[in-house]
Amino acid sequence: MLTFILRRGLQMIPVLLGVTVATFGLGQIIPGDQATALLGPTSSEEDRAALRADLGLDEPAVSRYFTYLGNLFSGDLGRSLSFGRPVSEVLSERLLNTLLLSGTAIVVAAVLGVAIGTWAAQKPGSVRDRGLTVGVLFLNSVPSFWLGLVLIVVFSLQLRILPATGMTSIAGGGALDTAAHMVLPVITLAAWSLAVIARMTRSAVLEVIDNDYVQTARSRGIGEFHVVVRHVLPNAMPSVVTVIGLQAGFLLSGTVLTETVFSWPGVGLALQQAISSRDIPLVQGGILVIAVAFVLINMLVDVAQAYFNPKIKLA
Amino acid sequence: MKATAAAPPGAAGPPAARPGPGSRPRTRTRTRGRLARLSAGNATAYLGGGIVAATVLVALLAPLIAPHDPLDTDPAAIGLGLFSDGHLLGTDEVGRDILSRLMYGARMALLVAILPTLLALAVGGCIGLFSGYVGGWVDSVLMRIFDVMFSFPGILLALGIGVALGPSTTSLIVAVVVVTIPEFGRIVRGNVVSLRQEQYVEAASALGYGHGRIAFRHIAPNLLGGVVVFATLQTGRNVILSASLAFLGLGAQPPTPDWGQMLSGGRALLVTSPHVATLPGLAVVVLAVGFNLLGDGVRDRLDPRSRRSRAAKKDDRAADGGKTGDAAC
Repeated sequence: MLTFILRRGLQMIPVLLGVTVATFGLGQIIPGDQATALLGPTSSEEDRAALRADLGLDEPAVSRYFTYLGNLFSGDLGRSLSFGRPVSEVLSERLLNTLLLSGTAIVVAAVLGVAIGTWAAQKPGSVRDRGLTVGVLFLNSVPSFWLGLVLIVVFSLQLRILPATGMTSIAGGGALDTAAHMVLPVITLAAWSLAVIARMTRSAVLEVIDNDYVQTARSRGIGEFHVVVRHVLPNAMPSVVTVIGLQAGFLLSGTVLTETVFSWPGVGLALQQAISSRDIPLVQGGILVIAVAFVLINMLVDVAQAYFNPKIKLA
Repeated sequence: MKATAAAPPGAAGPPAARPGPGSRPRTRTRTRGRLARLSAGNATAYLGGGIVAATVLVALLAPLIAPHDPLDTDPAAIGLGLFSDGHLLGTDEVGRDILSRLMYGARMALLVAILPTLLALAVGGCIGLFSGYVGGWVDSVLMRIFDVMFSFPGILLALGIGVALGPSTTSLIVAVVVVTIPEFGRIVRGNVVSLRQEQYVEAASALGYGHGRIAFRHIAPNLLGGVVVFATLQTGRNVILSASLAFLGLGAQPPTPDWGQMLSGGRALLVTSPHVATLPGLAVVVLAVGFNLLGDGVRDRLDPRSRRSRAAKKDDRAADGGKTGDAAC
């Protein structure tokens, strides 16, 4: 297992380098003079010259890339133009909020997705099974930002039972207050992943639910619940775990839209603010942080998959 | 599902094809079943195709059927509700007619969904065809580049490109194309690798045909079915991706009618006039559902694997009295 993890870790290095090339490249594809594009056409020539010197725009792109890479290793992601502070500082104070939101969302999506998928697979072709198919089609076609707005309209503006935006009430509040603020963003963020996980669970459960060992367990008089939990789900888990892991990565990127709708103070909202002010260093930093997390999650998924299915280690 | 009906009569097993005194009712049931599946499969495709066709029609006829100019503002009629006098779907945050803007917005929605799909299909398809056909280190290098692109969640990469190029319809299209290219490249490459082993390709090679002729005249036509299905489903995904980027301010700029941007602008009136923000989102959902249904329907008709698996599943169900279900969901 350790060899597998090491090998997978080594394979991750070129991908991570590719990610840094891509984020660096984003700063290079700005059309025209980068300093003018970043500071605006009304900026003074002195300011533009200072920014060019600061960003090393007079040097060749390859040399700038290695400087960028060196800075990354020392934790320097550049300076945010809109916040006037280091990007790493802006992102680090928001990262925990984003992880809280996306972490809760993936747990909700995984638990409900596996439960609903298993429930539907127990009676294929039934109303609940068809309901799942229709639900998956619908949720796959719903943009998260629209779902978020609809939830705000229904639960915050009409029914007035849940807060619409932010992370805490203006008057302040404890964990319960934060939990109440999390309900709608978590539903919004989890909905799409829940549909995907439920669909995959349904397929995986259907593949094993009629296997001989399951029939044997039933013939021994074991209750259906225990048959599913002890014999069906463990054998359906490898493919489900893969999907859950991939969805965890996608959820992180989905926070940009969800945090914007709910004004949740995380990395996604900072990215949205950076888009409005065309703060390229902050956009680069935010994308880099989420992409690196995405790559790390993918690696963890591979390790989890190898744990559940030892054949993968031999591949 | 029509595909199932098109399967050979004996596909379900020899007893079914054998005429006999007891075979007529079973044949009738089977025929009815096939007809039911045929209409169900077609219904999906027709419903999806109908939604897409209706959207295209509305987009084309917008100047003729829109009740107002989509750019006309009326400060005295800001945030009018549904079924208001002269404004069926009300007005937006600056008093523009929402129905007219939705109709004109359909043009932008279709443009930023279909054009990137076609461009990505052309570029990604050629890269995939070349990579799969040539193989070796070229294939490895191209696939590693795709790996890196796949390591980015699509929306983030598109967002970065959109910000770097500046907010405009062109940069949004470029961003969606770049994100979609690896998807097509990977799909086409995978199919080419398996088709390259086919006997007719080896025969063409033995006859001395050039690589270009083999790739484009013998392999490419056999990729078409799968690629068309994927392109239709990808267009549905691009509807949502483009609307998401426009919502973040990276698409067409005001006052151009664009569903994502309309939704974003409508948030200012969420408390008093929630329909201003929710109606454009509903339009996005309907169009995305349309493309997804159309893609599913086209897949049922074109994808031979889908046909086989459905026929096999039908046989399985017949064998065990319908206990097992459609595992493909």
